[in-house]
Amino acid sequence: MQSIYNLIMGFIKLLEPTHFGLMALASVLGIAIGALPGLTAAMSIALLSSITYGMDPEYAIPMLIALYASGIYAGSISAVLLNIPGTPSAAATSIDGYLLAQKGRAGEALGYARTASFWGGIIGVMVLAMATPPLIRLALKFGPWEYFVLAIMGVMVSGSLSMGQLQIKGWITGFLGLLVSMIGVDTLTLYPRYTFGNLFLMNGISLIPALIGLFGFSEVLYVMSDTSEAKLTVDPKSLKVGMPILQTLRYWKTIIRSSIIGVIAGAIPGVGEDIAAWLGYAAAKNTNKEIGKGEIEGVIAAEVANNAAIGGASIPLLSLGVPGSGAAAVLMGGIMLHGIRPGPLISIEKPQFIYDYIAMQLMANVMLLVFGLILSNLFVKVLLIKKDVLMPIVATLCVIGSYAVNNSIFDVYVAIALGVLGYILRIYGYPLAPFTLGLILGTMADENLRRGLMLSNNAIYPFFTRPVTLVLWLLIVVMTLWRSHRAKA
Amino acid sequence: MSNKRWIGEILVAAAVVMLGILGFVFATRMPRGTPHESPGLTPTVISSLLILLGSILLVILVQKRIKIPITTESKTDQKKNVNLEKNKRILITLGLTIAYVIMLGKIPYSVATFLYVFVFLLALKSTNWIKAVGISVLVSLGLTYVFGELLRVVLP
Repeated sequence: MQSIYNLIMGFIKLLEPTHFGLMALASVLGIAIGALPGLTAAMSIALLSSITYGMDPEYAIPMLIALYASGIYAGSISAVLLNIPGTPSAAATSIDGYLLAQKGRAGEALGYARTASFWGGIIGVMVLAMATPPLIRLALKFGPWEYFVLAIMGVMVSGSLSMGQLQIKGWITGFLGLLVSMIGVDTLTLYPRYTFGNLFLMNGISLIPALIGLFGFSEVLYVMSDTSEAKLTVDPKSLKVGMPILQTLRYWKTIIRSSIIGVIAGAIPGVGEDIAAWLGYAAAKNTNKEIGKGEIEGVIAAEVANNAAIGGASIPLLSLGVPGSGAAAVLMGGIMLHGIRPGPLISIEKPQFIYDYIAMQLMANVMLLVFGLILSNLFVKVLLIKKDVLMPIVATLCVIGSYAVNNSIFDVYVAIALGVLGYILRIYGYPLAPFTLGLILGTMADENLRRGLMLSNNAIYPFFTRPVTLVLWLLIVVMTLWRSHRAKA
Repeated sequence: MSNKRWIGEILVAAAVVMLGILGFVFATRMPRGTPHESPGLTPTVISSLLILLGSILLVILVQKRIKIPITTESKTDQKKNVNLEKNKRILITLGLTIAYVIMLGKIPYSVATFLYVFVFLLALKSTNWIKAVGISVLVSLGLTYVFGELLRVVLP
């Protein structure tokens, strides 16, 4: 009863005009940005985190969540109309979506994509609400050994399962992220690590500028390296987009299956919305051979899974402080920037935040449904903006966004450097999500390794023999073997 | 995998190993004592793992070269032109952005931003100069207003 009361209070807070207005603005922005190829949800969350830095977290965090949910959904708009996913998570949607557009059913595809995203998001949030409290109760019993192995598990599983050519490349980027997180003054001894006498590095690498560089500036370089220009084959004026909320439920089996897949995929660190969408799509294709030839069910399967993954990714984020996807990692960075540390202690420090978070996710899904419909023709026109005009504007946002957090030009140089690094890693098949997890989980890994060794008198066996640590190592081994098996297949 | 690509992969893997070695060397120079008093403990572990993983990757890449024939990149004019264009666009993006950041703090933010966007648009020939002026003015004034006035950021 108390939980339901807290959830209702969280929801009522969001109905206050300023909260609602700002969240609506972020939702609209999220759809506009998500629809544009070359602008990802992760990039937009990183930029908005910087922009909302000076705002009250009560206003800023709902905006970030609205942006996240809308951004993931909106990738389907350009996937259907241009055969280019606006976000990587919409890649599976483009297969059937674009074929439907070519058959003159673009409006139908867009309508079903939106309602499928809504249903996936809602189911994801429901699972989040049920799974988070027991997981928090379990995590409160963790000692430093468990937290250390959890951090390593987050990085290694993310490395194993991220979209990349070789598993080992994912691990390398994960450990690179961990190494970069070591830069700065050590929290336990106050010794400056890897600062080389540079005062700006004393506080370490600032998270938001780093994320803007990795997801923003590297994306700008990647998009600019593509010399082609996509053409819109559908006339925006003739597009009629509907709201088939109830009609979508005819595919209830697909919705349930894709939701389960999406939540599980989202909850595993580093897997995320893009892989969730492919898994949901592949599972649906096994039951309906017409998928892949312009079937609405293909669009629904992919979109339900990718939005359900948002709820899934939020489960370890809230309960363990380990984000489930790259975009969730950036969201976590934004939440931390506003002084809230996700993890089990949140149930003691700010218990209401869990319910507020769930309410924000619910509201964000309702908003993507409504604004996606009202402004659908406007968002389609957004696709007419040439990327050569858009990218310089995005680059200026990356520069001012990375500067604004600490009023530091040094942070801008860090963003550019990490942007170049991110671009190089990307073109050689190294995934970026593990790097992000390494950057965020580095301090947790470092502090808990040393605390654990102190408590066990320098013995390392507790890191391997305690029940939870055993399970976590087992998970790492299973994911590694599964990925190797898939690679060989 | 083309020869050029393979060389690139080897260089990146070698850079990882080098970074690991550098990280290891600097970590071992940090103070040592109990784990609590050893700031270099975790960096040493991470650097060691990077050296190991980077070395394994180098071995995998060398084995790939032995097992799979390397294709010579097609030297057709069309492919050469696409690669040249791609490299040109990346260099323009990077060069202009670095120049923009260097300008910040030396000239007003709105002027620097106007120049950056204007030169960028013309360098890519993405629009005519009148539209480039219009877009540049809108972007520079818009960002100055949003960040400087609304968000109260002390602009560079």
